[in-house]
Amino acid sequence: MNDDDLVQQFRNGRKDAFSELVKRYAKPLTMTILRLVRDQEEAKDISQTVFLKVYEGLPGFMMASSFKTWLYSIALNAVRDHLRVKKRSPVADYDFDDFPDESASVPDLLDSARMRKSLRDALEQLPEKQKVTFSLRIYENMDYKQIAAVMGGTEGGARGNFFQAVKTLRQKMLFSEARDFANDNGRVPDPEKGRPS
Amino acid sequence: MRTIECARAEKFIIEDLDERLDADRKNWLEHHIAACEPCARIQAETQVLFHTAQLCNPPIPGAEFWDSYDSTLEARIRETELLNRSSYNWKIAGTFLAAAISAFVVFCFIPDPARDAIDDPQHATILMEELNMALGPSSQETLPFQVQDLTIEVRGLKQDDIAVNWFEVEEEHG
Repeated sequence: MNDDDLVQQFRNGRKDAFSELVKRYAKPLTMTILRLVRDQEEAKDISQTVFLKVYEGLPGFMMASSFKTWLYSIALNAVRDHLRVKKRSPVADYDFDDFPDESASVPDLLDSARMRKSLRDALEQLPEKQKVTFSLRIYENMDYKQIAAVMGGTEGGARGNFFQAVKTLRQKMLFSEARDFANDNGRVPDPEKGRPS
Repeated sequence: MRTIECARAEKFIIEDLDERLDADRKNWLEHHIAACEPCARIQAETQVLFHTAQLCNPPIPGAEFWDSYDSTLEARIRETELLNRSSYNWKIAGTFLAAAISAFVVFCFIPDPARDAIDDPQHATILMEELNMALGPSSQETLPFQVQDLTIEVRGLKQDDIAVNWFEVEEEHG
């Protein structure tokens, strides 16, 4: 049974259809929110608030978009409101004495916890649209059409946001430190500047 | 030195990791990267970035989290329903109360112009004179009777009705 059938059943008075929708989307939705707010209890509260809004709004849902798109657009607005109230500032607390070894290869960097922290911190510094687009594309596997519907923009705009997000993340991640370090030793060219002389 | 081709290559690198390039573009990219060390580096870094992003998921909360999630959500929905029902009941009660008050105001406080005119001695005199002029001869002997009867007849009646009643009264007592 697809989402539209469940929505229709709920409208016909079957409350268990809503439980089924919650069962389907509670985990992925909460995880998406958790990636953006980075706090389990806050993510739980926001996610439940979203389902409450859905519960109240379902009788008037026009089904112009899919249920999933509608659900995620409510969630993103809720996250936006939450972050606005909290005025969360980006976290950037690298230990700069701990540069990667000059011989560190890409595979060495790959599994390093520092790389993951570096990515998380770089994500925090991204503009909101880019951050959300990146998250929906990578973690929710949404296509650009869906992302555009959720975020209220065009498909091309979503694609552009993703491209810019990847470019900025690459520039902000530890790669830049590794490059500077390696450049000092004349080993690695900086892709932004070209070949070392 | 980065060229326009390098900018194009960067776009293709991201597209390739994201959605896969078609054969022609992929071929072009591979040729470019083979000859361009900075772009090769960008490709390697972007690959690491995508891979790290996949590993970067926050830990999935345990069963306890999801159990409390379900029960709390259920409680919140019940609470909302209760609030909505109570607010609906108040709306209905409020509507009836407002209607009752409106009806009370209409029936009790809206002034009756005819009554006011007759209750006010000055207006009553003017009214009597107008009626006498309009409806027929008046005499001092019949005046108390007219006044008495007309006061009764005037309320809620149009002038034509009053005229009819007046002559009926005259006939009865003539």
